[in-house]
Amino acid sequence: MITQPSRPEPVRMTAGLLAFIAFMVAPAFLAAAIVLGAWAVSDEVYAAERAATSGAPGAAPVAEWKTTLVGICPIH
Amino acid sequence: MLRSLTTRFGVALQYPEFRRLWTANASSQAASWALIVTRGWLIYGMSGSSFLVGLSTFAAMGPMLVVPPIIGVLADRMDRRRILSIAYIVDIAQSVALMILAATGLIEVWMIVVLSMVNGISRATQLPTSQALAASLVPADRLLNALSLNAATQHGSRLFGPGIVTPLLAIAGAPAAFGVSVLLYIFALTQARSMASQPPEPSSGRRFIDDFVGGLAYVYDRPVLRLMLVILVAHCGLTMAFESLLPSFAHNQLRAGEEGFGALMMGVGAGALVASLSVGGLQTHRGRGNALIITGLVSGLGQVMLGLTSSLLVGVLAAAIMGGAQAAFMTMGQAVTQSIATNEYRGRVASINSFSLGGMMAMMNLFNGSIADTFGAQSLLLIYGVVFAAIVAVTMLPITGRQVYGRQPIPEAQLA
Repeated sequence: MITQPSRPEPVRMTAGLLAFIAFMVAPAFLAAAIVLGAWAVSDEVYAAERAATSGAPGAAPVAEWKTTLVGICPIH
Repeated sequence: MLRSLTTRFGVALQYPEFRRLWTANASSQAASWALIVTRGWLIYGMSGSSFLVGLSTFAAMGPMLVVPPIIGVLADRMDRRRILSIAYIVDIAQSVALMILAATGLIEVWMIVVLSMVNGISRATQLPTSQALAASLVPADRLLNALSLNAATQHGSRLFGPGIVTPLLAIAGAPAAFGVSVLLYIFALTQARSMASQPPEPSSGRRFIDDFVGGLAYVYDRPVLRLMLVILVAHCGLTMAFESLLPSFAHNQLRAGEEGFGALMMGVGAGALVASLSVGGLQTHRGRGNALIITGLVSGLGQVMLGLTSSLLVGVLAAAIMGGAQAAFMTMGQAVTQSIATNEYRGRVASINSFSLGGMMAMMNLFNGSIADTFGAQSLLLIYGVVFAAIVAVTMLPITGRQVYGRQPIPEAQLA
Protein backbone atom coordinates (compact mmCIF):
# COMPACT_ATOMS: atom_id res chain seq x y z
CA MET A 1 0.00 0.00 0.00
CA ILE A 2 1.65 3.23 -1.12
CA THR A 3 -0.08 6.48 -0.27
CA GLN A 4 -0.13 9.43 -2.65
CA PRO A 5 2.77 11.88 -2.23
CA SER A 6 1.90 15.27 -0.84
CA ARG A 7 3.41 18.42 -2.32
CA PRO A 8 6.77 19.56 -0.91
CA GLU A 9 6.18 22.39 1.52
CA PRO A 10 8.57 25.32 2.05
CA VAL A 11 10.08 25.19 5.54
CA ARG A 12 9.54 28.32 7.66
CA MET A 13 12.08 28.53 10.49
CA THR A 14 9.89 29.64 13.40
CA ALA A 15 11.02 29.77 17.02
CA GLY A 16 8.77 26.80 17.79
CA LEU A 17 10.32 24.69 15.01
CA LEU A 18 13.84 25.59 16.17
CA ALA A 19 12.98 24.62 19.75
CA PHE A 20 11.50 21.34 18.52
CA ILE A 21 14.59 20.54 16.42
CA ALA A 22 16.82 21.33 19.42
CA PHE A 23 14.75 19.01 21.64
CA MET A 24 14.91 16.13 19.16
CA VAL A 25 18.56 16.54 18.12
CA ALA A 26 20.37 17.84 21.21
CA PRO A 27 20.38 14.63 23.30
CA ALA A 28 22.25 12.66 20.61
CA PHE A 29 24.81 15.45 20.16
CA LEU A 30 25.25 15.84 23.93
CA ALA A 31 25.75 12.08 24.38
CA ALA A 32 28.30 11.99 21.54
CA ALA A 33 30.06 15.10 22.91
CA ILE A 34 30.31 13.61 26.43
CA VAL A 35 31.77 10.31 25.21
CA LEU A 36 34.14 11.85 22.66
CA GLY A 37 35.19 14.62 25.06
CA ALA A 38 35.93 12.13 27.83
CA TRP A 39 37.84 9.96 25.36
CA ALA A 40 39.91 12.93 24.15
CA VAL A 41 41.11 13.91 27.65
CA SER A 42 41.06 10.56 29.44
CA ASP A 43 44.75 9.68 28.85
CA GLU A 44 45.94 12.96 30.38
CA VAL A 45 43.58 12.70 33.35
CA TYR A 46 44.54 9.09 34.12
CA ALA A 47 48.25 9.95 33.73
CA ALA A 48 47.83 12.84 36.18
CA GLU A 49 45.96 10.53 38.55
CA ARG A 50 48.76 7.96 38.42
CA ALA A 51 51.32 10.69 39.07
CA ALA A 52 49.32 11.92 42.06
CA THR A 53 48.91 8.47 43.60
CA SER A 54 52.60 7.66 43.11
CA GLY A 55 53.47 10.81 45.08
CA ALA A 56 55.52 12.46 42.34
CA PRO A 57 56.73 15.97 43.33
CA GLY A 58 54.49 18.81 42.10
CA ALA A 59 51.62 16.47 41.21
CA ALA A 60 48.21 18.09 41.63
CA PRO A 61 45.17 16.29 43.13
CA VAL A 62 43.00 15.19 40.23
CA ALA A 63 39.84 13.75 41.80
CA GLU A 64 37.86 16.91 41.01
CA TRP A 65 39.06 17.09 37.38
CA LYS A 66 38.38 13.45 36.89
CA THR A 67 34.77 13.88 37.93
CA THR A 68 34.39 16.93 35.73
CA LEU A 69 36.18 15.65 32.66
CA VAL A 70 35.77 11.90 32.49
CA GLY A 71 33.69 10.92 35.52
CA ILE A 72 30.43 11.80 33.79
CA CYS A 73 31.09 9.16 31.15
CA PRO A 74 30.65 5.67 32.67
CA ILE A 75 32.60 3.96 29.90
CA HIS A 76 35.64 5.95 31.00
CA MET B 1 -6.36 -22.85 18.33
CA LEU B 2 -2.88 -22.35 16.80
CA ARG B 3 -4.47 -21.08 13.59
CA SER B 4 -6.55 -18.49 15.44
CA LEU B 5 -3.51 -17.37 17.45
CA THR B 6 -1.47 -17.01 14.25
CA THR B 7 -4.31 -15.12 12.58
CA ARG B 8 -4.58 -12.72 15.50
CA PHE B 9 -0.94 -12.18 16.47
CA GLY B 10 0.79 -12.83 13.14
CA VAL B 11 -1.75 -11.41 10.72
CA ALA B 12 0.81 -9.17 8.96
CA LEU B 13 2.75 -12.32 7.99
CA GLN B 14 -0.07 -13.11 5.55
CA TYR B 15 1.44 -10.45 3.27
CA PRO B 16 4.33 -12.13 1.38
CA GLU B 17 6.41 -8.97 0.99
CA PHE B 18 6.23 -8.20 4.71
CA ARG B 19 6.96 -11.87 5.50
CA ARG B 20 10.23 -11.57 3.53
CA LEU B 21 11.13 -8.33 5.29
CA TRP B 22 10.36 -9.86 8.67
CA THR B 23 12.49 -12.97 8.09
CA ALA B 24 15.33 -10.76 6.80
CA ASN B 25 15.05 -8.63 9.96
CA ALA B 26 14.92 -11.64 12.27
CA SER B 27 17.92 -13.25 10.62
CA SER B 28 20.07 -10.09 10.57
CA GLN B 29 19.19 -9.19 14.17
CA ALA B 30 20.21 -12.68 15.33
CA ALA B 31 23.46 -12.31 13.35
CA SER B 32 24.17 -8.94 15.02
CA TRP B 33 23.74 -10.34 18.52
CA ALA B 34 25.80 -13.39 17.61
CA LEU B 35 28.55 -10.99 16.48
CA ILE B 36 28.36 -8.94 19.69
CA VAL B 37 28.86 -12.09 21.80
CA THR B 38 31.63 -13.52 19.58
CA ARG B 39 33.55 -10.23 19.36
CA GLY B 40 33.33 -9.76 23.14
CA TRP B 41 34.49 -13.34 23.80
CA LEU B 42 37.39 -12.98 21.37
CA ILE B 43 38.54 -9.56 22.62
CA TYR B 44 38.38 -10.64 26.25
CA GLY B 45 40.35 -13.78 25.41
CA MET B 46 43.01 -11.74 23.56
CA SER B 47 43.34 -8.81 25.97
CA GLY B 48 41.63 -9.72 29.26
CA SER B 49 40.25 -6.16 29.19
CA SER B 50 36.58 -5.42 29.89
CA PHE B 51 37.23 -1.87 28.72
CA LEU B 52 38.16 -3.09 25.22
CA VAL B 53 35.03 -5.27 25.13
CA GLY B 54 33.01 -2.16 26.05
CA LEU B 55 34.84 -0.14 23.39
CA SER B 56 33.93 -2.70 20.73
CA THR B 57 30.27 -2.67 21.82
CA PHE B 58 30.29 1.14 21.86
CA ALA B 59 31.80 1.16 18.35
CA ALA B 60 28.87 -1.00 17.23
CA MET B 61 26.22 1.12 19.00
CA GLY B 62 27.73 4.61 18.48
CA PRO B 63 26.66 4.93 14.81
CA MET B 64 23.02 4.89 16.01
CA LEU B 65 23.65 8.49 17.10
CA VAL B 66 25.02 9.63 13.74
CA VAL B 67 23.80 7.51 10.84
CA PRO B 68 19.94 7.60 11.05
CA PRO B 69 19.48 11.25 9.94
CA ILE B 70 21.49 10.51 6.78
CA ILE B 71 19.73 7.21 6.13
CA GLY B 72 16.30 8.73 6.75
CA VAL B 73 16.77 11.15 3.85
CA LEU B 74 18.25 8.40 1.63
CA ALA B 75 15.35 6.05 2.47
CA ASP B 76 12.96 8.71 1.11
CA ARG B 77 15.05 9.25 -2.04
CA MET B 78 16.12 5.70 -2.95
CA ASP B 79 14.59 2.24 -3.25
CA ARG B 80 14.41 1.08 0.40
CA ARG B 81 14.83 -2.57 -0.59
CA ARG B 82 18.10 -1.65 -2.31
CA ILE B 83 19.37 0.19 0.80
CA LEU B 84 18.65 -2.91 2.90
CA SER B 85 20.41 -5.18 0.38
CA ILE B 86 23.51 -2.97 0.39
CA ALA B 87 23.55 -2.99 4.21
CA TYR B 88 23.37 -6.81 4.27
CA ILE B 89 26.19 -7.07 1.69
CA VAL B 90 28.36 -4.84 3.92
CA ASP B 91 27.52 -7.08 6.89
CA ILE B 92 28.41 -10.24 4.96
CA ALA B 93 31.75 -8.68 3.96
CA GLN B 94 32.69 -7.63 7.51
CA SER B 95 31.62 -11.02 8.96
CA VAL B 96 33.66 -12.89 6.31
CA ALA B 97 36.66 -10.64 7.11
CA LEU B 98 36.30 -11.45 10.83
CA MET B 99 35.98 -15.18 10.09
CA ILE B 100 39.10 -15.24 7.88
CA LEU B 101 41.15 -13.07 10.28
CA ALA B 102 40.15 -15.26 13.24
CA ALA B 103 40.82 -18.53 11.35
CA THR B 104 44.29 -17.39 10.20
CA GLY B 105 45.30 -15.97 13.58
CA LEU B 106 45.99 -12.54 12.06
CA ILE B 107 43.23 -10.85 14.02
CA GLU B 108 44.02 -7.97 16.39
CA VAL B 109 41.80 -6.02 18.76
CA TRP B 110 41.83 -2.81 16.69
CA MET B 111 40.60 -4.75 13.64
CA ILE B 112 37.62 -6.06 15.62
CA VAL B 113 36.80 -2.56 16.89
CA VAL B 114 36.93 -1.11 13.34
CA LEU B 115 34.74 -3.92 11.96
CA SER B 116 32.36 -3.43 14.92
CA MET B 117 31.88 0.14 13.75
CA VAL B 118 31.22 -1.03 10.18
CA ASN B 119 28.61 -3.44 11.58
CA GLY B 120 27.14 -0.62 13.68
CA ILE B 121 26.79 1.68 10.65
CA SER B 122 25.06 -1.09 8.74
CA ARG B 123 22.72 -1.84 11.66
CA ALA B 124 21.87 1.84 12.08
CA THR B 125 20.96 1.79 8.37
CA GLN B 126 18.73 -1.28 8.61
CA LEU B 127 16.52 -0.26 11.56
CA PRO B 128 14.89 2.94 10.21
CA THR B 129 14.84 1.62 6.64
CA SER B 130 12.97 -1.55 7.57
CA GLN B 131 10.56 0.39 9.81
CA ALA B 132 9.71 2.73 6.92
CA LEU B 133 9.51 -0.22 4.52
CA ALA B 134 7.15 -2.20 6.78
CA ALA B 135 4.65 0.66 6.74
CA SER B 136 4.41 0.51 2.95
CA LEU B 137 4.05 -3.30 2.77
CA VAL B 138 0.91 -3.79 4.89
CA PRO B 139 -2.43 -1.96 5.12
CA ALA B 140 -2.69 0.73 7.82
CA ASP B 141 -4.84 -1.47 10.08
CA ARG B 142 -2.13 -4.19 10.07
CA LEU B 143 0.74 -1.80 10.79
CA LEU B 144 0.70 -2.27 14.57
CA ASN B 145 0.85 -6.04 14.07
CA ALA B 146 3.74 -5.68 11.59
CA LEU B 147 5.72 -3.42 13.94
CA SER B 148 4.97 -5.66 16.94
CA LEU B 149 6.38 -8.64 15.02
CA ASN B 150 9.48 -6.60 14.16
CA ALA B 151 9.87 -5.55 17.81
CA ALA B 152 9.46 -9.16 18.96
CA THR B 153 12.29 -10.23 16.64
CA GLN B 154 14.51 -7.50 18.12
CA HIS B 155 13.94 -8.83 21.63
CA GLY B 156 13.90 -12.51 20.60
CA SER B 157 17.15 -12.20 18.66
CA ARG B 158 18.95 -11.23 21.91
CA LEU B 159 18.20 -14.78 23.04
CA PHE B 160 18.42 -16.58 19.71
CA GLY B 161 21.71 -15.15 18.34
CA PRO B 162 23.81 -15.66 21.49
CA GLY B 163 21.99 -18.98 22.06
CA ILE B 164 23.38 -20.37 18.80
CA VAL B 165 26.94 -19.10 19.06
CA THR B 166 27.66 -19.60 22.77
CA PRO B 167 27.92 -23.42 22.56
CA LEU B 168 29.63 -23.11 19.18
CA LEU B 169 32.33 -20.86 20.67
CA ALA B 170 33.13 -23.53 23.25
CA ILE B 171 33.18 -26.36 20.70
CA ALA B 172 34.62 -24.86 17.50
CA GLY B 173 35.91 -21.38 18.41
CA ALA B 174 35.39 -17.89 17.02
CA PRO B 175 35.77 -18.62 13.26
CA ALA B 176 32.80 -21.02 13.34
CA ALA B 177 30.73 -18.50 15.33
CA PHE B 178 31.55 -15.75 12.80
CA GLY B 179 30.59 -18.27 10.08
CA VAL B 180 27.10 -18.52 11.60
CA SER B 181 26.74 -14.74 11.31
CA VAL B 182 27.83 -14.94 7.66
CA LEU B 183 25.12 -17.53 6.94
CA LEU B 184 22.44 -15.54 8.77
CA TYR B 185 23.33 -12.37 6.84
CA ILE B 186 23.34 -14.28 3.52
CA PHE B 187 19.83 -15.56 4.33
CA ALA B 188 18.74 -11.98 5.17
CA LEU B 189 20.14 -10.79 1.82
CA THR B 190 18.28 -13.47 -0.15
CA GLN B 191 15.03 -12.48 1.58
CA ALA B 192 15.59 -8.77 0.89
CA ARG B 193 16.52 -9.46 -2.75
CA SER B 194 13.34 -11.51 -3.24
CA MET B 195 11.19 -8.51 -2.31
CA ALA B 196 9.69 -6.39 -5.06
CA SER B 197 11.46 -3.12 -5.78
CA GLN B 198 10.12 -0.14 -3.80
CA PRO B 199 10.60 2.85 -6.11
CA PRO B 200 10.92 6.14 -4.22
CA GLU B 201 8.57 9.08 -4.63
CA PRO B 202 9.76 11.60 -7.28
CA SER B 203 12.71 13.58 -5.92
CA SER B 204 11.97 17.07 -4.65
CA GLY B 205 15.38 18.14 -6.00
CA ARG B 206 16.20 19.75 -2.65
CA ARG B 207 19.56 19.71 -0.90
CA PHE B 208 20.25 16.92 1.59
CA ILE B 209 20.13 19.19 4.66
CA ASP B 210 16.90 20.81 3.42
CA ASP B 211 15.32 17.37 3.14
CA PHE B 212 16.43 16.49 6.68
CA VAL B 213 15.08 19.76 8.13
CA GLY B 214 11.99 19.29 5.95
CA GLY B 215 11.38 15.96 7.72
CA LEU B 216 11.57 17.64 11.13
CA ALA B 217 9.29 20.44 9.92
CA TYR B 218 6.84 17.84 8.60
CA VAL B 219 6.66 16.29 12.08
CA TYR B 220 6.43 19.69 13.78
CA ASP B 221 3.52 20.82 11.57
CA ARG B 222 1.43 17.79 12.59
CA PRO B 223 0.46 18.19 16.26
CA VAL B 224 -0.49 14.53 16.82
CA LEU B 225 2.76 13.27 15.29
CA ARG B 226 4.75 15.90 17.18
CA LEU B 227 3.17 15.13 20.56
CA MET B 228 3.56 11.37 20.05
CA LEU B 229 7.28 11.79 19.29
CA VAL B 230 7.81 14.13 22.25
CA ILE B 231 6.08 11.60 24.56
CA LEU B 232 8.25 8.79 23.11
CA VAL B 233 11.42 10.83 23.69
CA ALA B 234 10.33 11.55 27.28
CA HIS B 235 9.57 7.84 27.71
CA CYS B 236 13.07 6.89 26.57
CA GLY B 237 14.70 9.46 28.84
CA LEU B 238 12.67 8.75 31.97
CA THR B 239 11.90 5.03 31.89
CA MET B 240 14.18 3.30 29.39
CA ALA B 241 17.56 4.69 30.44
CA PHE B 242 17.71 2.39 33.47
CA GLU B 243 20.67 0.22 32.44
CA SER B 244 23.20 2.44 34.19
CA LEU B 245 21.04 2.47 37.36
CA LEU B 246 20.31 -1.25 37.71
CA PRO B 247 23.80 -2.48 38.74
CA SER B 248 23.89 -0.01 41.63
CA PHE B 249 20.23 -0.73 42.49
CA ALA B 250 20.82 -4.52 42.49
CA HIS B 251 23.86 -4.10 44.72
CA ASN B 252 22.62 -1.52 47.23
CA GLN B 253 18.85 -2.09 47.37
CA LEU B 254 18.48 -5.80 46.55
CA ARG B 255 21.88 -6.86 47.99
CA ALA B 256 22.16 -9.18 44.99
CA GLY B 257 25.31 -8.12 43.08
CA GLU B 258 25.94 -9.06 39.46
CA GLU B 259 23.62 -12.06 39.52
CA GLY B 260 20.83 -9.74 40.64
CA PHE B 261 21.59 -7.32 37.80
CA GLY B 262 21.52 -10.20 35.30
CA ALA B 263 18.20 -11.47 36.69
CA LEU B 264 16.64 -7.98 36.45
CA MET B 265 17.80 -7.60 32.83
CA MET B 266 16.39 -11.03 31.98
CA GLY B 267 13.09 -9.96 33.54
CA VAL B 268 13.06 -6.82 31.38
CA GLY B 269 13.87 -8.85 28.24
CA ALA B 270 11.26 -11.55 28.89
CA GLY B 271 8.55 -8.96 29.60
CA ALA B 272 9.47 -7.06 26.44
CA LEU B 273 9.31 -10.16 24.25
CA VAL B 274 5.87 -11.25 25.53
CA ALA B 275 4.41 -7.72 25.40
CA SER B 276 5.73 -7.01 21.89
CA LEU B 277 3.91 -10.06 20.57
CA SER B 278 0.78 -9.36 22.62
CA VAL B 279 0.11 -5.83 21.35
CA GLY B 280 0.05 -7.20 17.80
CA GLY B 281 -3.27 -8.82 18.70
CA LEU B 282 -4.99 -5.48 19.35
CA GLN B 283 -7.45 -4.97 16.53
CA THR B 284 -9.54 -1.87 17.21
CA HIS B 285 -8.46 1.76 17.18
CA ARG B 286 -10.03 2.33 20.59
CA GLY B 287 -8.37 -0.81 22.00
CA ARG B 288 -4.97 0.41 20.84
CA GLY B 289 -5.59 3.81 22.39
CA ASN B 290 -6.56 2.24 25.71
CA ALA B 291 -3.49 0.00 25.59
CA LEU B 292 -1.27 3.02 24.87
CA ILE B 293 -2.59 4.76 28.00
CA ILE B 294 -2.35 1.67 30.21
CA THR B 295 1.15 0.69 29.08
CA GLY B 296 2.32 4.30 29.44
CA LEU B 297 1.08 4.46 33.02
CA VAL B 298 2.42 0.96 33.84
CA SER B 299 5.78 1.82 32.30
CA GLY B 300 6.19 4.61 34.87
CA LEU B 301 4.49 2.89 37.79
CA GLY B 302 6.29 -0.44 37.13
CA GLN B 303 9.53 1.47 37.60
CA VAL B 304 8.15 2.87 40.88
CA MET B 305 7.26 -0.71 41.97
CA LEU B 306 10.82 -1.79 41.14
CA GLY B 307 12.26 1.15 43.06
CA LEU B 308 10.23 0.32 46.17
CA THR B 309 11.09 -3.37 46.50
CA SER B 310 14.00 -4.88 48.37
CA SER B 311 13.21 -8.46 47.29
CA LEU B 312 15.00 -9.88 44.23
CA LEU B 313 11.98 -12.00 43.26
CA VAL B 314 9.58 -9.03 43.37
CA GLY B 315 12.26 -6.94 41.64
CA VAL B 316 12.46 -9.38 38.72
CA LEU B 317 8.64 -9.43 38.49
CA ALA B 318 8.54 -5.61 38.51
CA ALA B 319 11.33 -5.51 35.90
CA ALA B 320 9.28 -7.87 33.67
CA ILE B 321 6.15 -5.71 34.06
CA MET B 322 8.17 -2.55 33.40
CA GLY B 323 10.02 -4.05 30.40
CA GLY B 324 6.76 -5.37 28.93
CA ALA B 325 4.97 -2.04 29.30
CA GLN B 326 7.94 -0.14 27.84
CA ALA B 327 8.22 -2.39 24.77
CA ALA B 328 4.45 -2.31 24.14
CA PHE B 329 4.31 1.48 24.55
CA MET B 330 7.23 2.01 22.15
CA THR B 331 5.78 -0.37 19.54
CA MET B 332 2.36 1.28 19.63
CA GLY B 333 3.89 4.77 19.62
CA GLN B 334 5.95 3.93 16.53
CA ALA B 335 2.84 2.49 14.85
CA VAL B 336 1.05 5.80 15.52
CA THR B 337 3.91 7.82 13.99
CA GLN B 338 4.26 5.58 10.92
CA SER B 339 0.50 5.43 10.32
CA ILE B 340 0.29 9.25 10.27
CA ALA B 341 3.35 9.79 8.02
CA THR B 342 2.89 9.71 4.25
CA ASN B 343 5.14 7.40 2.24
CA GLU B 344 7.61 10.05 1.09
CA TYR B 345 8.33 11.07 4.70
CA ARG B 346 8.36 7.63 6.35
CA GLY B 347 12.12 7.18 6.07
CA ARG B 348 12.76 10.50 7.80
CA VAL B 349 10.08 9.92 10.45
CA ALA B 350 11.58 6.49 11.22
CA SER B 351 15.07 8.00 11.37
CA ILE B 352 13.94 10.84 13.68
CA ASN B 353 12.47 8.08 15.87
CA SER B 354 15.76 6.14 15.97
CA PHE B 355 17.99 9.18 16.29
CA SER B 356 16.03 11.15 18.92
CA LEU B 357 15.03 8.13 21.01
CA GLY B 358 18.51 6.58 20.87
CA GLY B 359 20.12 9.94 21.62
CA MET B 360 17.91 10.57 24.64
CA MET B 361 18.55 7.05 26.01
CA ALA B 362 22.30 7.41 25.54
CA MET B 363 22.38 10.85 27.16
CA MET B 364 20.22 9.85 30.13
CA ASN B 365 22.21 6.63 30.66
CA LEU B 366 25.40 8.72 30.83
CA PHE B 367 23.70 11.29 33.09
CA ASN B 368 22.22 8.62 35.40
CA GLY B 369 25.55 6.82 35.60
CA SER B 370 27.21 10.00 36.80
CA ILE B 371 24.61 11.02 39.41
CA ALA B 372 23.50 7.59 40.70
CA ASP B 373 26.16 7.58 43.42
CA THR B 374 25.08 11.03 44.65
CA PHE B 375 21.30 10.70 44.56
CA GLY B 376 20.90 6.92 44.74
CA ALA B 377 19.55 4.65 42.00
CA GLN B 378 16.37 3.98 43.98
CA SER B 379 15.44 7.68 44.23
CA LEU B 380 16.05 8.21 40.51
CA LEU B 381 13.91 5.20 39.55
CA LEU B 382 11.06 6.47 41.75
CA ILE B 383 11.23 10.10 40.57
CA TYR B 384 11.48 9.24 36.85
CA GLY B 385 8.67 6.68 37.10
CA VAL B 386 6.27 9.10 38.81
CA VAL B 387 7.15 11.93 36.40
CA PHE B 388 6.50 9.79 33.32
CA ALA B 389 3.18 8.44 34.65
CA ALA B 390 2.19 12.08 35.31
CA ILE B 391 3.17 13.04 31.72
CA VAL B 392 0.87 10.32 30.34
CA ALA B 393 -1.99 11.47 32.61
CA VAL B 394 -1.56 15.15 31.70
CA THR B 395 -1.19 14.59 27.94
CA MET B 396 -4.53 12.74 27.89
CA LEU B 397 -6.37 16.00 28.65
CA PRO B 398 -5.91 18.29 25.57
CA ILE B 399 -7.58 17.50 22.24
CA THR B 400 -4.26 16.59 20.58
CA GLY B 401 -3.53 14.19 23.44
CA ARG B 402 -6.94 12.60 23.07
CA GLN B 403 -6.16 12.09 19.36
CA VAL B 404 -2.79 10.52 20.24
CA TYR B 405 -4.45 8.07 22.65
CA GLY B 406 -7.25 7.15 20.24
CA ARG B 407 -10.05 8.91 22.19
CA GLN B 408 -10.81 11.13 19.17
CA PRO B 409 -10.14 10.62 15.44
CA ILE B 410 -7.04 12.26 13.95
CA PRO B 411 -8.03 15.13 11.58
CA GLU B 412 -7.63 14.32 7.87
CA ALA B 413 -5.38 17.38 7.40
CA GLN B 414 -2.73 15.79 9.64
CA LEU B 415 -2.70 12.58 7.60
CA ALA B 416 -1.60 14.31 4.38
